[in-house]
Amino acid sequence: MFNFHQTIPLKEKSQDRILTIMIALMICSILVIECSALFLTNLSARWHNSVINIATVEAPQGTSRNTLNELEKIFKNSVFIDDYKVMDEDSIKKIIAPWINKDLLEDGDIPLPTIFTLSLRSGSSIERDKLKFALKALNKDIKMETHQNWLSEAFKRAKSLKILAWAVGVTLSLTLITSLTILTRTRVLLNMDVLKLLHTSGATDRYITKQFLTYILAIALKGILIGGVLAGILIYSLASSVNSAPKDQAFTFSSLTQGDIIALWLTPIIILALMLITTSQTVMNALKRMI
Amino acid sequence: MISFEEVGLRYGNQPEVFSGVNFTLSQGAFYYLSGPSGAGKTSLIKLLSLTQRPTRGFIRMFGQLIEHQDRKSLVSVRRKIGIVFQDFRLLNHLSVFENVALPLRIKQTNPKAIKKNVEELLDWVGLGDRMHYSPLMLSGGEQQRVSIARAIISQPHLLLADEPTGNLDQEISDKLLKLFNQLHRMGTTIVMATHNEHIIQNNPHPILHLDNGILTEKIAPTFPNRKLRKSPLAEISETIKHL
Repeated sequence: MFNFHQTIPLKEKSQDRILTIMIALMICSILVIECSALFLTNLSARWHNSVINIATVEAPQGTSRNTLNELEKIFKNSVFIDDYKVMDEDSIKKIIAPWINKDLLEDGDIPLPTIFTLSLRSGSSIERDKLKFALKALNKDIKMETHQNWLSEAFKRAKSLKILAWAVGVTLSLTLITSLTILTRTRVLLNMDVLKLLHTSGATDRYITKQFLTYILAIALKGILIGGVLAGILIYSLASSVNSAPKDQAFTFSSLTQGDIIALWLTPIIILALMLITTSQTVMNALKRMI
Repeated sequence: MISFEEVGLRYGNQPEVFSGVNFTLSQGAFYYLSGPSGAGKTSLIKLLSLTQRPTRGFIRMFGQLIEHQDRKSLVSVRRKIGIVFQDFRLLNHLSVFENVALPLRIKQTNPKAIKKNVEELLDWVGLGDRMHYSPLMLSGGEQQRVSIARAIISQPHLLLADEPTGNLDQEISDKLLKLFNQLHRMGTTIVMATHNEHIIQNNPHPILHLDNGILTEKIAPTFPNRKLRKSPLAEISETIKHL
């Protein structure tokens, strides 16, 4: 296709360079945004998988040994509970450390509750409610937290962020495609005399359109390549800078699934295809005005 | 070969440029298209070159009724027409070679054949040594030669010339007409728009005269029965080199 003979003067070095840079920056932004959205999706899924089947039961300080034994009996007998563990004192201190004075914690004057961590089986909400009812019946001060509330809140926010990221990505893609359409229209108008000459000389619409497509394809491929490399560097730098985060929150390339990587590859290809389709349509529409 | 039946043309809501135009061009004919400025000569050339559709009437070209043809089918009709413009319309971003090669590139002719034919034709018109020049580096007469070479490279059935001598001095105009006469003798149908009385007087051919939107056909004075001293091709070659 690149050996195709260009008879329309479409190339303009300085403008082409600006256009290549614009495409590169847009593609880079789109890929970084898409990557962030995909990472957010995966992070939500990981949170979901790691905490959805975990619950904590808190018995306030001073709960009698008998009550605690009864509590353990309920856990053992419940079909909803797979396993349970009593959280040791140090772990409890770590959890409450951000809210409590350090000296108070070390003195041991703070009344610490007894906390059980439960591994739940996947089950209906009826099972969960039954368990809650049994615990309340034993002691009304015993609380059970299934993470359901904060998790659904976190998911809602993650979802909003994802939608926002996709919306920005789509807007950028549309802006890029619109800019190219405007550029194509401008080139059509600038070269109208040449187009008319080609048309009267018996050139087919395809012959003329192909020249525009070849030109846009050459610039777009260059821009996409540069944008892709830039995005790769940015994402890699971002990944390196957050690698100190807890393992399940850190972003690495392995955080992306195979499907995500395919989606990242497909994005510039889809944008390129849309660019070529709109270019072709724009030129065809201009040519259709000639008889 | 070409016939116009009751052809009328108007641009938008303007009055008709011409109405009820009827004429027939047989193969190998040479017609002048004359008339005062604004009489519609260029509009008629536009209809003949298929860059404008008539608002009424029928145009038949090379056996095809133009009104019934879609855009795709008109391509094959256009490829049978060569056009020489008053302002040459050369593509200044292309070399002389590429300008002449344009109709062949459009037809996707084999590159080797393009090279051979264009080089031969450029040699023939005396521009063989300037084929890699930009048209901007050529004189008016040389540019018109390139324009003619481009118009005839694909051996058109019909050669249209819209005021081809408009930008040339009298001497070069006479030589250009000599070349057109020779192409005509080789069988090319020619329609040449001009209001150059000197040319019409010295090179008698039938005239399609447009005035106030009415087309009349004037029979040419007796065509001088010149004897060709050489073959038409050899004579053309000699003439064109002096343009």
